[in-house]
Amino acid sequence: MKNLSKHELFSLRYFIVFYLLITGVFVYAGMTGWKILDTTPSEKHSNAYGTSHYYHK
Amino acid sequence: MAFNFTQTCASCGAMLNFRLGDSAAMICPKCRSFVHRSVSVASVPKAAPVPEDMSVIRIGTTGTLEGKAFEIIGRIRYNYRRSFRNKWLMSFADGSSRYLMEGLGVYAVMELENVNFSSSKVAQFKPKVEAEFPGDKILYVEELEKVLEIHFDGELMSVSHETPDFLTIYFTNNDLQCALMQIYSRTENEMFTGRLIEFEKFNFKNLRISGDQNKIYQGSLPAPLKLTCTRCSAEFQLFTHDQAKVCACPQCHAYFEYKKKTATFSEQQKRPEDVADPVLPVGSQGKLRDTFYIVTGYAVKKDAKYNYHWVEYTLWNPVFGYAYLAEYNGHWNYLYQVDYFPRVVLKKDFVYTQERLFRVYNVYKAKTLYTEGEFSFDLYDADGTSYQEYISPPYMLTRELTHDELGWYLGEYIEPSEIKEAFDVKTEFPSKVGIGSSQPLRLSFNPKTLNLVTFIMIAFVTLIQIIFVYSARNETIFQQRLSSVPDSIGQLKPVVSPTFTLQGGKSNLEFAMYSPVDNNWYEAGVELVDESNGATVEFSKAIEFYSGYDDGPWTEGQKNEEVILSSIPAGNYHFVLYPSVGSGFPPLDLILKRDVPVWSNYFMTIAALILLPLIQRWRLNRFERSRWMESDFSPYE
Repeated sequence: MKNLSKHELFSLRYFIVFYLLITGVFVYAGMTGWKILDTTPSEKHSNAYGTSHYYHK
Repeated sequence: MAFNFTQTCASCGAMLNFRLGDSAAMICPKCRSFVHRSVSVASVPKAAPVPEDMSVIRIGTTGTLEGKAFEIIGRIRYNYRRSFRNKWLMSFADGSSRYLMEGLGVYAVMELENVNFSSSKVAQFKPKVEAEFPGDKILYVEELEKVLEIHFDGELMSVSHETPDFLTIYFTNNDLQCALMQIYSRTENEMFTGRLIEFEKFNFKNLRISGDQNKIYQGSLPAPLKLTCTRCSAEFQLFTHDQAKVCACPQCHAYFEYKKKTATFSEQQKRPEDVADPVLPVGSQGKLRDTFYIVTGYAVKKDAKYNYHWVEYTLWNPVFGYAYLAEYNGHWNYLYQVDYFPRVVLKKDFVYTQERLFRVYNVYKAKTLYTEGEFSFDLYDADGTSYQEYISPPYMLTRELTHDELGWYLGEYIEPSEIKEAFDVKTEFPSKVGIGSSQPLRLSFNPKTLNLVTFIMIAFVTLIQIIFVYSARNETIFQQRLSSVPDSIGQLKPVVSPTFTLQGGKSNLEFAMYSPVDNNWYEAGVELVDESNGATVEFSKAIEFYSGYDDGPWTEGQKNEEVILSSIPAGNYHFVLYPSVGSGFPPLDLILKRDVPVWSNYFMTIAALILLPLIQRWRLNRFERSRWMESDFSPYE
């Protein structure tokens, strides 16, 4: 750490925040059963399978 | 053991108290007579006053070094063409003595050692040449300088070499070991060896400064010396007194040699038309990186080969010596001379020091165009000095080499705003143009360190995921084969489940579905109903499976699907299933599980962690390419 420049120490703070944010979200999601970027409720049959579905019908 | 020997000054009769058993002489503190111990002479020569070099140490200064108390009792001051050095005599409580070498912010403790080099070896000594000392120590020649003047004060160990005009060779290495060789003749020399020690480690007391961290002139350090320009009669100040060897009049820009309180005209400078006023006027004071400085010099220099110029501000502090602020194209570096020699590794384009690898960026010879203020050596005389600049942003390492001196300067990129704040400057600084040679990429970090941190974070997240997987309850809430039953118009009837209870806090709920479709599809529209408030969560999922034979057998789709609903609170629920199918009436096997491990969260987190070093690598690559466009040593060509 003592060899880090002032600039690097400044950057390090942001990276630590970034890493803590990511892992924090991951741990929170795991604890509460939250599926990150959950799109299930809006998922529609026509969007998901429309093309192949009607093609094969 | 303390020693005391008293002798009367033959000139003024003052009682002189010798502190060391083997000292040879003393300068009488009252009349400055040169008194040889145990020698009685009718008339004694007077020692010249020691020039005011603004050293913070004085006779009577005390301290402790590695637990041993000492007192400064004597001084020999050597004046060189480019600098000066004080050899202070340290008397320790146990009767021993050593020398404290001090000058321009460098402090080293040395003692006389019997080291002999052959005259042919001595003749080879020049900057960078290595020399092997006893104990397998390798040191490198840093500078060769001729002593121009010697001054004495206090108690003296040896007075056999009172006359100047002899050569000194200074050696040092990366382990802060150093040596000073004084060559008096072809057959006679003295070698002092020791090591460089930080100022704070001496625990000095009774210095010439009072310890005020926000003042240059304090304690018994004299105020700046006032001089009058012999060309235009303007008054100006000399901030470092006899440290200065040259100075320039701020009004008419005449350039003077300075010696013994007299400025002798040397040449008439003319400020280049394309050079703006200095943004840090000579005499400005401020605290930069925890050190209080005064700006003592301003120099405009140019590359001897290419037609571009840069400016250098000289900063001075009585304890730490000189530092520099160099500005080119609006980019600033804060530099100071280092006491060690960087090792040259890999190949000639790299040096390694301070756990960093520096790459050569520029090689040039500098020429001074214009100066203001004062300098400890003649800048115009130094024209032709060759420089090599190595970079490891935000650091820069500059090697300065002349025929008799080698110096290394460590620089760090510094934002103009920090300088403005330090010196309380309101003037606009030059705008930045392009990318500075040591400019760091904003919000960047050493790629290797970043990769290591990312790897550690991935390992940590993987460990957490393993814990999540093993601690998941995987509790089956509902499991049943649901038949497809048509109503009177041939549509499939909705299926309403019995009430089931979800326990615990918020957790996920997985719908695992299987339907034995073949060249067919089954779409399940599901509505999960919270019976306590009627709130619903809806989703639809299609299962489809097709197979056939064209050029060979093929299949598409699958007969099972899973949907995970996020963060479903505990409570009583039921679901309504709205089925629709392609043809026929295939059944649906449905299993509801509470608290299942979610792998998508894990993979998304890993992707996010990997994304940062990838983005950084891309940014850094673009930035470095732009930086090295200015260099003749670009690794991108």
